[in-house]
Amino acid sequence: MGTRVFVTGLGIISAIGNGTEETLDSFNKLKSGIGRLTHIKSLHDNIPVAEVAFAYNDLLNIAGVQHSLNIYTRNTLLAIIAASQAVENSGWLNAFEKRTGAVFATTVGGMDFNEKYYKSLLESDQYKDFINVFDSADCGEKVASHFGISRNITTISTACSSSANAIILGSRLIKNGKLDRVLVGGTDALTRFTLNGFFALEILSPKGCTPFDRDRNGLTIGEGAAFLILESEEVADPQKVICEVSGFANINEAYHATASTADGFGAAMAMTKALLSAELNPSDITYINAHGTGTEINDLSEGKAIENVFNGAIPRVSSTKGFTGHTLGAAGAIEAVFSALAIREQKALPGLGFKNRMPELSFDPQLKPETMKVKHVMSNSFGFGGSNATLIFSKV
Amino acid sequence: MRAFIKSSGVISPQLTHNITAFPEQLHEVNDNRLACLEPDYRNLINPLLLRRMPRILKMGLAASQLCITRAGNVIPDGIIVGTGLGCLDNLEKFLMDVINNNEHVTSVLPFINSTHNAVAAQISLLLKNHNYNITYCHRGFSFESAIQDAMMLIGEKQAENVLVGGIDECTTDFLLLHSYLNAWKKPLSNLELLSDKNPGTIAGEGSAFFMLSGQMEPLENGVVIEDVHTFFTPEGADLKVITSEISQFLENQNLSVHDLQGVLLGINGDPDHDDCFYALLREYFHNQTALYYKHLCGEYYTSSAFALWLGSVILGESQIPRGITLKTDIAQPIKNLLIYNQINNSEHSLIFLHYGRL
Amino acid sequence: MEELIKQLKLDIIEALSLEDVVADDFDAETPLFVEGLGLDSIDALELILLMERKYGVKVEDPKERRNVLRNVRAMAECIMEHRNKQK
Repeated sequence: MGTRVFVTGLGIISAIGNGTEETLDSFNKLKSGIGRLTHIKSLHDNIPVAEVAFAYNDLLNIAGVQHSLNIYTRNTLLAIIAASQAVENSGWLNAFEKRTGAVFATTVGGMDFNEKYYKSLLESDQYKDFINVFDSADCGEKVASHFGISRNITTISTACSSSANAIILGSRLIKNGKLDRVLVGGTDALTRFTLNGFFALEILSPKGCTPFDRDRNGLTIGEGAAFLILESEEVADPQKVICEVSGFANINEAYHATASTADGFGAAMAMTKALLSAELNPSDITYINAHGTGTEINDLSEGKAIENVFNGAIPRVSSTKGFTGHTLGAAGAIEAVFSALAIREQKALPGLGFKNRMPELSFDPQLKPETMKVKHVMSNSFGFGGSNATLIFSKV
Repeated sequence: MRAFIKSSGVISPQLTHNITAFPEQLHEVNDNRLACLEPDYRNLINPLLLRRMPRILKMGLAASQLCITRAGNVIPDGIIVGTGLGCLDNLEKFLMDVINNNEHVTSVLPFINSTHNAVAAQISLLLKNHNYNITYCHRGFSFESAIQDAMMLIGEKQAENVLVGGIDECTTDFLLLHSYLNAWKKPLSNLELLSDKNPGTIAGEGSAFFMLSGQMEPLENGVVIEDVHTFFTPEGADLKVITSEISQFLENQNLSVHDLQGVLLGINGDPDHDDCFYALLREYFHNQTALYYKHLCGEYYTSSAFALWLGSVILGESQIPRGITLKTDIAQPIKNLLIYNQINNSEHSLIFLHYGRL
Repeated sequence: MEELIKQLKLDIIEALSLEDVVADDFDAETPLFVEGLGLDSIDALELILLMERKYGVKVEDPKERRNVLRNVRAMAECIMEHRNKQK
């Protein structure tokens, strides 16, 4: 239905690099970004995390913004850095040359500032200048201002599927003829708030996540941002086209606030619906970038779903969270960039940490980058609140 | 890509939850904050589930339940929520637990509830609804994004009925923090909001849900959302830009400002914020019935959801209630209405409604 | 022991916001999960946090947890055992 949607620009910053070249280098060298917590002081600094290498002041420099004019959270700086890359390599001149909008995604918003100054603000107004950066709209508005985008700006927050949903909305805005070009993506910085929340839920891996491994014991939180430029077929410069957004689905599992069903019913529903929307068969998919957080429940649920949907003909599967950690609201976009890279490089991407096959599954995840014909890539993002999103990208 | 308002359910600082028409009396409060008049939630939500719910979840579930019942219990093909701040109370609770107890947190539930999509997720869970589900959290654009998405879903033929809500709660901490930014007036009667020329406004909150539908039989008896539009002016509100956006928006409906019968404006009593509205009334909206609503619900990021409810009642009942008109007290019934709101002189939203055929 | 059980019941009601439940509504042997009070996995996490923060008892093994959380008496016995070990 509607015009075709092409990806013409990519931008990313995560624990495995700043930009697509550093990122690909990490995949080729099987170099994980998981390590010790350094940017935040926390009781839980013995738990591995996947931080972006740069301290706050370095991010300010890279983003090239004037801190004296505006207040930038770590969350926003990550977004500006990634969005700038995407904008630049899509050949974007200004926000007015095409009907342009932006769809952002985040779960933490400005929490990195919020948690620093909140207690003080309850006692005095010393840090009142920071109040307006706490909520989830701030990073989107700072990015929109930065590029002069003035219409159709919004932010989605659906836990771990947030930025996948942003890509879906961006695609639909183009298909419905409302926009010709959309900057879509997400950002989430590491915060004590989320670290403590996941710790209390007892789903953090004490040694680093090992997705789809028999002995997996939890997820590893990461941080980062990624953005894509989506354009309609009519306005996209053919030289800039990387791949197509050929299918997508958003469903709700409606099972539990934080867990998914053991039989993977919700995951299967999302994948099946996405295939239908792309008018593809399961056998058309070359590579799945799984949600694969490394928790007992998710990997079982998603693994079973893959078995059911792909029934005997399972494509290459990997979770890249062994490299980047689980970047929460940014995960969908980060992994969408990975999916686009898989198509551009004609490579199935590897996972990390796997040692033994899960007894419930018939497949092992991909362990090395593998050069092969990559035609269609599926990317899964399953979030708290049962929010499941699946994207399909295709070579043009 | 229009959508019909099949039903609504509203919990607000006016007595709106137990009726579908405009309340007989305006609820007056002497304070700088308006709190919702809430129903007995045990009548609307399974009491066994209530115990774990923060207030905003109760407001969301109750209003959506009212809406669904009034729509004849149709199964929504999509559930879309707009909220500027999400479950703010539980976010604050967990944050203070982390800070005050040096990360030895005492409770995990507030963290689970603090995810912005908790309301939409909980509605899905209770209805066992696996359809499209999404939450928008972008201050003054949150509800408008939800409406636009619902209308697209209907236009794509992916949905016949979509449940859409706008919800935000006011917390004591939020009031305190924003008082540092001179956001609030000193306590006053909400009904005298516009007479007070001091800076600031009155804080509010609310939960308004709508069942939007691709069809309503017969066409003549429906309130229709024709279109919605948002624009962002980070450098401040400029009359030329605003009138240009409104004109273009109306042109997209094959209308000009002369075809517009009524405008419902997000005037909130703060002189700096309201300047652009009064300029519009002087320079642009010459012949329209001019109405305002924030004295009834207060200022909050999804107040346009309350405005949509008010607009739908005005059009549906063919009557303009007393106490909401800007120019004259008694105004003629209107058949179409433009809702225009802005927040922080930067987030502008337009919703165009009409009754029956355009 | 009985004092501890009384206190634990109040703690449980508060921690889980069981607004319509009073201490007399259930006894030390009433099942906490599935039947009886009908609690679920999120409540289990809250009770584990309660045991740790208020009573200093860490119950990490999943099998042990199912056992300790089966009713109030089992929780009390676990706490008493921990207290005796401390002496």
